[in-house]
Amino acid sequence: MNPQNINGWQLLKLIYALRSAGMDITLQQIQDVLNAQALFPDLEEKAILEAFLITRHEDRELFHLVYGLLNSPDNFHEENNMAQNNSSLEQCNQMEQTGCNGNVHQGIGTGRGGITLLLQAPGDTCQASSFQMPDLQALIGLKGFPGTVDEIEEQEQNLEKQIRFILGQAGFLTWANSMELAKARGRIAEPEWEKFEEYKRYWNQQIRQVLLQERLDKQNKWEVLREVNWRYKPLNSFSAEETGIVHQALRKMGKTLAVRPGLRRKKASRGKINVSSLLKEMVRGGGKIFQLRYETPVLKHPELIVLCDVSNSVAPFSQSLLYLCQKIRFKFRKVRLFLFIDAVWEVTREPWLDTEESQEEIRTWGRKHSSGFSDYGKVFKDFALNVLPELSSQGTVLIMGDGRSNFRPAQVEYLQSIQEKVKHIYWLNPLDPKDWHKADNLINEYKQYCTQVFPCRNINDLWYISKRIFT
Amino acid sequence: MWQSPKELTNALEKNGYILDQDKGTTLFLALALQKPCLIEGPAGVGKTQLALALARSAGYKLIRLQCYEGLDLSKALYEWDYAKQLLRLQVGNSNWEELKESIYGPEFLLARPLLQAVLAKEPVVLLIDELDKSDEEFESFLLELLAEFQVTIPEVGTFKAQSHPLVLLTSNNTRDLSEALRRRCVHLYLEYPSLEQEMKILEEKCPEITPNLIQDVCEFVAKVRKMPLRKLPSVSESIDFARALHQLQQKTLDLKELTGTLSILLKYPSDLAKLEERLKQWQQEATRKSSTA
Repeated sequence: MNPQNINGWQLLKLIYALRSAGMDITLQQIQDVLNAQALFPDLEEKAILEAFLITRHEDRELFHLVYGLLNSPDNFHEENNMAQNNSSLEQCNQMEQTGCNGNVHQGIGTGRGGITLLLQAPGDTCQASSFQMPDLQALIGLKGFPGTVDEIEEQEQNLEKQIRFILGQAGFLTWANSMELAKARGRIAEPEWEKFEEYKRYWNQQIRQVLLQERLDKQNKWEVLREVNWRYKPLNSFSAEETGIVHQALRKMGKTLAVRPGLRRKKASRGKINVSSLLKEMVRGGGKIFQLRYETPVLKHPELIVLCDVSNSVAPFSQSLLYLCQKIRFKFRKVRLFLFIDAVWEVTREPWLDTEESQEEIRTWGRKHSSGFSDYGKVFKDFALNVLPELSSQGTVLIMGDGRSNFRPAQVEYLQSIQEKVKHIYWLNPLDPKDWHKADNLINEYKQYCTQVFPCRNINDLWYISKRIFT
Repeated sequence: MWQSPKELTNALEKNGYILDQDKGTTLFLALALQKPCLIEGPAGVGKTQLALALARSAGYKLIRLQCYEGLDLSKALYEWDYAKQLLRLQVGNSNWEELKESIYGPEFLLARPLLQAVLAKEPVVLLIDELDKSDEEFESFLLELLAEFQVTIPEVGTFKAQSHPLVLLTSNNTRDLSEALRRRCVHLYLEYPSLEQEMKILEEKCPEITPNLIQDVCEFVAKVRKMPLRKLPSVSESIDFARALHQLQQKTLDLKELTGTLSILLKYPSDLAKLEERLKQWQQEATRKSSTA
């Protein structure tokens, strides 16, 4: 696909790919693209597409990724098309000469997904650039070293973990660790560290693109790109740089949820005038108003109790839930937040809860209070004995946990006693539903005592759950 | 009006607003296809300023609607002048049918910003500022205006825009705007300016300050913006910071002599504490660098 000249078929392919990857594109937007192309043929096509197809900043990266994949010379859709293959080859040769995106150090190779990462810029004496990344073509198995993409996928399903695996194989992680250590000891200056971070991001992005291209080749469907869409990406696979996206999404979600009032009304000394009550009063007084009657909305869930598993596998999900609960806490009369692993402790009044440092705090608190292995039975027992008497019967308990209890007894009677006391128990499970039935998973035993169990892996799930529970 | 993105960015630059070519292309396409432009980005990157500069460049009148929680149609679109209507009823000696006609006439209609933009005979720039602060109901109401450039007043009828206004909406991302609204707009995301852009802005806004100090300030602010702070310094804050250093007779930025001036750049005590901590580190690095040199 020539970026300077997208024809209708190529545009439709791009639209289909973006829609399959989870972006919403309307017919009006397509019409706008075509109108703009007709009116301004000299403008760069990509700029026109960006202007009309991207409706939120967070989708920009996904758009560039899909656009890049469609423009790659080994695009899987074009493999069987001889005419297009010829043009792709020419384009590819051109890219080899000029470098992808005009950068001589970011060349896309002519092979299947091959990227040669020659990042050492001439005259660059920075320590960060002294690492020579091996040829990825070799690395991901196309020359038989160290294993094929299939083998990597067998070991790791998650895309981010696959990237980490490849970086590990390349020896990059050892080098990254030494850089981090040097940073902690103050031996690296800030500009050098920034350069290192930049390279890390670049390598991550390049490997991600190669792996996605391979997946597309193999599965021949664009839906595989959903895994990199911020809405569907598992909450534990966001990098430190991307957590801003999660927090922003949760902040917006919190704000949206917080402005929705409840439907029921109660008598109050101020607020909106209660017309029906006022009419009754007037009828009793012969048509004279003695006193105005007011009403205010009744909170749907007056008391919210949040229990979050902060063991290693669940901590990133719990962090997002805690962040969201912090943002909507003023919607409730009372909010209490608890963390647990094999013991339960309250963090409601901790100042770090809605800050960027919460991730680190959650990790260190876990070390202080527990052995690190989840024990749901013991946690429910502690909670039922120590906290339950203080809760109101109108309370809603939210549990964020994967239900994996390391083969310890379920002690369901305690969850049953909690269910009998409070109004609702909602369980949010960050595991993929197909993993809910694995050996040490107790979710099936606990399920019967919950109002509902939701899968909660990504922002989209969290948004759906929040709307179901809080509005 | 403008024939190319380059013309648009040049016109904006003449009016004191520096916009890069990519963003200029997006804005140009929005204006050329007569679509509303939704400008998003962190606070202090110049979203509102862009609308003001656009109005100046185009020579159009600017009509601004500042959004806030609880904003309703009576403040945004129109309101009947009840007091005047009552007066008319009291002094009226005509029959009810005539009265009914007259009290819902244009004389009693108070046009608010949205209706003013629709009724304007000359094209105007309509700025709907901080839309995320308004309620969802108001956002839904805007859909008709943004799609058709028309508004309906039940007692009178539908008004269609006589001249197409240039509509700009801004949002600070505190609340998610609906997909329906986003689809009707061209999306423009403004980020903090690059080092070169910020230097250009400062040179333009503060011609009295030496180029060395401007460069130092911009480099320093760029470093501060990479820190994990609650509120990053905006462009206007970096201008104030540069002016403050200039007032203190500084020709270049000296890390050791920043005490007292940092509060111009950062507004939260926790952010200030973080920066002061980081300043010590930067000072050590600078000392080490100079000793090895």
